[in-house]
Amino acid sequence: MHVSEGILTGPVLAGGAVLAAAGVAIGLRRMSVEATPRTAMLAAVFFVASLIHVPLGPSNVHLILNGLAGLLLGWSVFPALAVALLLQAMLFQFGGLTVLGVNTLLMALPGLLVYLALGRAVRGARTSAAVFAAGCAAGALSVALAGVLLTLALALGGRGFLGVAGALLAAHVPVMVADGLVTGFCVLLLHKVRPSALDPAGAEAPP
Amino acid sequence: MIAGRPALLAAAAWLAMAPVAAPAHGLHTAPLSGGEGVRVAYDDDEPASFADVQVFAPGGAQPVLTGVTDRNGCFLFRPDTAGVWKVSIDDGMGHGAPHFVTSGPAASATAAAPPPRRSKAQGVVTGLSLIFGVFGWAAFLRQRTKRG
Repeated sequence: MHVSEGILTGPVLAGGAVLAAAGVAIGLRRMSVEATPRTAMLAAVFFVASLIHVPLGPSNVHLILNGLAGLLLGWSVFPALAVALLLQAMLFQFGGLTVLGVNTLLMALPGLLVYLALGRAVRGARTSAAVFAAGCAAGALSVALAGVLLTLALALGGRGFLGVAGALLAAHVPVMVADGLVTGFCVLLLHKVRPSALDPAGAEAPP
Repeated sequence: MIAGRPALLAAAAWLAMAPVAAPAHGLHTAPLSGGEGVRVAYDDDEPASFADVQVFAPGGAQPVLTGVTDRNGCFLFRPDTAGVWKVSIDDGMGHGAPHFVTSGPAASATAAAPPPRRSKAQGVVTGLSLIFGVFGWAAFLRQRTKRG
């Protein structure tokens, strides 16, 4: 779901860069020394995930895992994904430097939103099925939100909102399923072996 | 006999005009070879089918040709002037890429082998090293600031 160079208009690029920079600044401010290895690990997971293609039915999708990163990092999802996206742009020509801010916002903001909306549900779930369901919902919802943000960004550049939204939805339903399942299983595993990993606010730096 | 003469003349005139008029309103086809082409595909080599394409002539700011890739992600056109033609591809979902075609006498002189692409494994190792290096330095600097 990386936006390529030359697609978006100048004001959209500038607005995305400013918002992404603000998110990165807040994320860095809240990232404690103890939480840095976890942030690096999730940045690495996101960096590699888009290279892994999963056969799902007749199509072939690649993982995004911005929901998993958001659930485990909170606000630190911004610096984690900004570094990963920068390296993807430089090493694999995914996206580009001028769209780095917009791409960071498209990926990190949904991660943060699902953390704020579903983080408590994931931590507070009492049964394995409930944890898995909350993780699945977070993974799928973060992909859907990224699609909505991308549609908005393209619509601000003059494209028809409904046409783009329809095409994106059709293309990303398999990604939502794959991301939801992987996020659900990861969250379930962490809930069993290390529940504290699901509480990024507990590891944040004191203000 | 006299009455039939105008009709005969009209029929003769129509027959005389017909071979001249028909080609002006008809189309004919002929086989053609050559041209320049581009194949557009995603990272996993899945073709970018039916993506929007715009072709810009050398030095031109407005597209001289628009179209879509075929189901295999291919698009072909025939440059009619020498120079560097820009082919802009947009799949309508945020993915796009420019492709440049050099035509005319300069084509053979400027044609060069594409730069070797870094393998995916090399990119992954480089990227992971940089990620852990960057965050490792960040943790080190923050720890030092905290102690200082």
